[in-house]
Amino acid sequence: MTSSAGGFPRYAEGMGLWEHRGKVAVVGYGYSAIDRRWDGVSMDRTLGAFQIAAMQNAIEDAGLTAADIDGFMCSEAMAGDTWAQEDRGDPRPYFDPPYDSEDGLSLTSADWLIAGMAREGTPLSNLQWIDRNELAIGQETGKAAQAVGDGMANVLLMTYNMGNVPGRYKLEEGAYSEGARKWSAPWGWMTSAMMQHAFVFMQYCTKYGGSHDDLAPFVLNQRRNGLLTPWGYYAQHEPYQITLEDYLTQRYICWPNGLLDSDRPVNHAFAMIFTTAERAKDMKQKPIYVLSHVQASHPTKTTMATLEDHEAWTDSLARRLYEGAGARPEDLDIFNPYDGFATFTQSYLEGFQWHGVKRGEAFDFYAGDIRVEGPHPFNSSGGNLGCGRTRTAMYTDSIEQLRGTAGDRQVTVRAETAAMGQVTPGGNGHIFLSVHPQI
Amino acid sequence: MEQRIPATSSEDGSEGAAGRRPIGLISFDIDGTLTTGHGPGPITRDMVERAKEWGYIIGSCSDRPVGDQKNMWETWGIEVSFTVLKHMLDTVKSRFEADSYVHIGDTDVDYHFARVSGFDFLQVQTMDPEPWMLSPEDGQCHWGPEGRTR
Repeated sequence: MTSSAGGFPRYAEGMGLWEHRGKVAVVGYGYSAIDRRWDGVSMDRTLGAFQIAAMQNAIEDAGLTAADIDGFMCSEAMAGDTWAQEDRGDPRPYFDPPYDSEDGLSLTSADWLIAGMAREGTPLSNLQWIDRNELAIGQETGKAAQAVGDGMANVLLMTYNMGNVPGRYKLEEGAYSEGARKWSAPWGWMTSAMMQHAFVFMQYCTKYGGSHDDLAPFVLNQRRNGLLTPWGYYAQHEPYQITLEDYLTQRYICWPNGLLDSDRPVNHAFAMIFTTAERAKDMKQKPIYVLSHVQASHPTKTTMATLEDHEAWTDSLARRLYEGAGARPEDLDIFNPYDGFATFTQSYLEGFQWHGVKRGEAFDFYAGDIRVEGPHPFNSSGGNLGCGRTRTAMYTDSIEQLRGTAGDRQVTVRAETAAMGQVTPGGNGHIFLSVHPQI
Repeated sequence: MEQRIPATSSEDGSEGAAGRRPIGLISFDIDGTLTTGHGPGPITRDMVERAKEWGYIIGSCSDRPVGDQKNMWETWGIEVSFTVLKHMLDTVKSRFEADSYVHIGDTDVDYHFARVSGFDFLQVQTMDPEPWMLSPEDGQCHWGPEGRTR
């Protein structure tokens, strides 16, 4: 069982309609509980345990049994730091099997997850196709849709996690920054990521006017939407709304990127089920059809990308996703772009021209009514800023909006199509969903 | 401009060389430091309450919004002298006159802001228990249920 989805990735311009447009559907999703960090004690709240729960919940949501699943996809990339943290001189011991290595604690391999499903009484006994190669959910969703469309699997279970163990997150401390990182990330990965986006954001403010504080309405609304997402981190653990004063007095991490502009690492897992449109007709849930998917992977010309790069990349991304779906900007109802740092989300908003927003107009748009009950319910999921660094709220919200089950977050405008993705303009995957098999 | 609050003698009458008992100020980080944090730290409500009873000026200095810090103290039923954002610790020193200033936290961010704000820093995972942390019943330090392993 190997992975090979022929039409993946979809990087090129001018590909036309996606060949499987409307022939693949999302028929189930599930998620786990959410914690700030695994506590190092509760074996029912490890990253692996959460991911098994998410998969079981997705199967149940779809009205299937584990034996119906013939395709499986996961990301084996580590999201946060390792459990053992040997590089810090503070090694921590492992546990009895199945937690006798990093597997299940700070990452989850396909083998571990499949064994875990069997251990928990829901064996994936009919798997014919397994893929474990994608880095993140943005790419995973597109590849899952492509695999079903290509006939590699009939009912595909796709899962993703973001983990967080005690200690500082992803600092990549060490005595040396080696290889290309000595140029791009001499002070650690997270600092580098912030510097990159801070730099482009400052170029944006210089070109179009405005400042960091113009992000306030967007960030406050993200938290508001997150608090309307019952499973989200803030709704679960810190259920208070941040204020404008909180935003304006926040601590800067890498100016002008502040603490409240940055998503908060959490321990969480998610799963989705894809099948053919034909199979979806008779299933428990209303089919949500996949109309298109595209990916992006852009090398930079210098150590850092520029505003010009980000705009060109997101213009291309939007153009290709719309083209694949046979859609135009005015056809897109629900838009949940990535917000790992608030300072780059406007690249997507303007690139997709959602609700007519053109380059340089994001700050004015944010200052308008972007609440879910308003006319421009931007990022109705609350994203990472509102729900924690799950990277999956964009997907759960899009499915719920299209099903009409988003509860207090349900938008009052038309909700028949949705686009979402992650991560950054330079490297990402996006997918276009619809309640109809074509626009 | 806000007036600086002077140090005053403690009610127990023990006075130092300056004619009054030395007054200490303790700033607590929350997450990873107090048991109410996400994740829970080892310093308990009883310890904090005892520090206050002993005459320390106490408050919190956290990345949590000030409103949430205030809510936390209200939930704990402890009236504190200050609640500030982590990068504003220096304002505490300018507001309160004391003989010693200590920030207790769990990360190198706490260390950084303590240092630049003129505070001594105690890392909660490794510090020796302060006298106010010891139980009056048995003289032992009873860390919170999660211990100091984080």
